[in-house]
Amino acid sequence: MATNLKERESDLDEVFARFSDHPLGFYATAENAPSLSEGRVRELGLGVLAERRPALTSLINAVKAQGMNLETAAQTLDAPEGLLWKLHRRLIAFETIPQAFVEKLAESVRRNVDEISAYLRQPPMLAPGASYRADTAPEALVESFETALSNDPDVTDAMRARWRES
Amino acid sequence: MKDIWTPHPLTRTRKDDGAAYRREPSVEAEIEKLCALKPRMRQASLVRGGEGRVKEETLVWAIRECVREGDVEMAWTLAELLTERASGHISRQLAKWRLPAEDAEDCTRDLFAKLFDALFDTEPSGEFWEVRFWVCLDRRLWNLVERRQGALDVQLREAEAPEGSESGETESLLARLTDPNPGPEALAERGAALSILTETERLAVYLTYVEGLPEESEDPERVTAARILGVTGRSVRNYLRRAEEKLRKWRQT
Repeated sequence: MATNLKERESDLDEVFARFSDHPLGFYATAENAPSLSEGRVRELGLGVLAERRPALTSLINAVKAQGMNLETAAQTLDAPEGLLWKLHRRLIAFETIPQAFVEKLAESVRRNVDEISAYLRQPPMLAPGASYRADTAPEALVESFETALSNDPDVTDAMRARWRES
Repeated sequence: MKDIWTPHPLTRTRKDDGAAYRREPSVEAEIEKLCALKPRMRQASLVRGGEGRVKEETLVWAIRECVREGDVEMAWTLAELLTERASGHISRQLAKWRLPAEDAEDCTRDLFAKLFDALFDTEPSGEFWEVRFWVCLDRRLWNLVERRQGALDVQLREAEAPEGSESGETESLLARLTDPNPGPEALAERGAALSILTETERLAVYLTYVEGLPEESEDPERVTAARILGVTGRSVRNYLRRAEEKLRKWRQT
């Protein structure tokens, strides 16, 4: 039954297409002032999208979905690539990450700050494919944002200064 | 994202002439080009804005490819892009109706919910979205607004005249309006005549007099004016009657 309804929807779309193409010009253009601005429509649409979109499960996939790789994402964020790997695996304590960095990260992967924050707050991930002999999984080493920056050999003075100030 | 994408042909056929659905040549060309790219370049091409950005139908196709492959993150990123692109169009379309802002907001939310349902449904019944994206979007908006407008339109309904009155004279007016081979006089008056009708009245006249569809039918499979408009047969008759009345008055002035 559901399929029949969808089939019928498609038939109705076909008729509507002929209406909008009709040379007599039945399909008029708007002349009234808009009741909703384009910005408000976008805001409502993105709100519906946010309700339906599954929670972020991989920072790397989110980066890739924007047509970037980790290197270009790191350049955009003015941060070393290694730091992004650590953020992906949640090896940086969330409360130590500057808010400005979280905002910039959210902007670069086109997610809102709450979604990114929720992802970064989750427990750390072990390296994929890692094997261990103990009965319980080893705990991943979590460090502060500042320590991660200090220990990264690729970090520049400018990067360090920028994120320390924020 | 899979290394190689294959441009799947559409499988459905048109109801009117039985021809297979076909995407616009420009969309087919974009799809072919995207399929030949490596994943990262493909992603970058899909999300690129400005000049050289892909068409909306191509984005619909790409979203469905991502869904088929399980690349949900990419699918939602493209859906977000489509949301941003559609916003201006929806705002302009809503302006045709003069709905109160609160009702316009409800319609907009419902429209986006319908849009996302359609985008993430990979069944062939949704293939027309890859053929005419804006048409599919407009029809759904039309239905949503009509339902809302109908609820608000109590005063007009209360004032409605008995059905079928004075139809002989005015039917010829509507037939003249929809004549496919108009004479010079009819052609000149047509633009003015259409401009006095509302969106819904124009569509009701088109569906009934140009497409020749019945106003309503008990057969649930039958395409009718009421089903296209998303309203009852009684409402369709009311639209036609209002159109007739307006045209008659317009002819008298």
